[in-house]
Amino acid sequence: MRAFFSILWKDLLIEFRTKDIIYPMALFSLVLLVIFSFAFLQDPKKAIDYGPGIVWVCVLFSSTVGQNRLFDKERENNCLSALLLCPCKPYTIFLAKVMMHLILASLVQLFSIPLILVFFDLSLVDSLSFVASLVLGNIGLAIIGTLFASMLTNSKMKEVLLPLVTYPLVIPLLVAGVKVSAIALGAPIFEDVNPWLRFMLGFDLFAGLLAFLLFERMIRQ
Amino acid sequence: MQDRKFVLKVQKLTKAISRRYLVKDISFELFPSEVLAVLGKNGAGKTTLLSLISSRISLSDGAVELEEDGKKISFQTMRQMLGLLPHDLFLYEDLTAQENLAFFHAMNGGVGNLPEKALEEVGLIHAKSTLVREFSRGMKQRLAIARLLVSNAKIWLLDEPFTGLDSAGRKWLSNKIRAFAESGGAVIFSSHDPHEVKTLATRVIVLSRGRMVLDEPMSDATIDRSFAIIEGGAS
Repeated sequence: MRAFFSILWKDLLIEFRTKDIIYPMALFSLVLLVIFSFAFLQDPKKAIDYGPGIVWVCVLFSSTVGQNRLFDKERENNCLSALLLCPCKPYTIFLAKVMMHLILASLVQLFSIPLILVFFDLSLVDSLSFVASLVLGNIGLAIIGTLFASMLTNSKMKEVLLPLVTYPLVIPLLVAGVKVSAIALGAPIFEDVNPWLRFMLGFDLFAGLLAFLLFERMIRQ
Repeated sequence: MQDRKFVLKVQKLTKAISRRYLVKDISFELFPSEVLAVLGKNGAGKTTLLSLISSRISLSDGAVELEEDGKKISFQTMRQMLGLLPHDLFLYEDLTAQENLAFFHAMNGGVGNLPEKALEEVGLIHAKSTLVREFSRGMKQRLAIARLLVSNAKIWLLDEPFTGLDSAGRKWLSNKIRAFAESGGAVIFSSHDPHEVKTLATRVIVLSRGRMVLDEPMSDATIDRSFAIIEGGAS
């Protein structure tokens, strides 16, 4: 636990100083929001049709921007090697990075998602399910993204490769997230949110298990 | 430094990439208070050897074991006892000197010297709140040594540790290494400088094309022979 909190503290301190991750994430969300609002605000009645999709596109793209930079500071002076030589389990590093990503994604989404709801005049009919889908979706995205971002740390093409590798894997999670969000925003879909939320939880558990088994091997690549 | 005796056993260490051997069949043992100089031309395998011992890179063959009081210790504990100072120094540029040390101190389980004490020892206490980004190469080198001090490592693996240090810094580091060895630690360092090797090392090994071609206790004749091999042979 000490190593986990040390890595998290160190990452937060560096981010607080440099804002290298949160600014691009926030800016990207804002740009998407502006583009979508110009593209789709012609017919406000249809907002409920594309609103859930816009929420998840913002979540996915801003997450990818953050994940691409999650290990950048570890590359400077080869600090990742120093971390791996410390007497802590490699998955402690993984968990700290996932938590770091979740904190940053939450901060960005705390302002971007209310803005989407306001811009598109969407109202929540089931806030709990909406928040649950965002929490589970972000955890899944953070696990998959961090796992592959660690592998691509030293790749010159990581900005291109990371979405190419992770997007096909997270499609089921996104579909479930969009479904739950649509129902929670009052779309005329007569389905229960619970099976979708259970699916998202199952996805996160499976992704977590996969990451636990693969992280050390992948990061040492 | 410690009451217990340890021995580092390096056995037939081999690293190959695409059928090319970076180091091959290197074996030796290292005991407390020894200062082992690793010599060789550029590309002879010095950095690879230190990286393999520290487990920074994986072995293709062979083994590195650490025994304490005749008992083999676990890989995890062995890692705690080995402190690597590589070329790239392992420092976070956006943290201050003190924050860097506090981080590595915590990552090593909170054993070893406290960051403040380590900064004092390396003469950087005045710059404790300065970002590493603003440090000169020599200051970074000193801070990297401080990182070893807060890790409580018993064996230092130093890859060309005098790089970037001025003459005062070199003298300081020589004294530091000597004091560390005298207190029961062991040091393996790579170097190209005969003077440093002569004044510091108690034993010398020479690598040529990844093979160990000489392993002798320090003497004037050893130095002459070592540099004759290095200057005479290819990497």
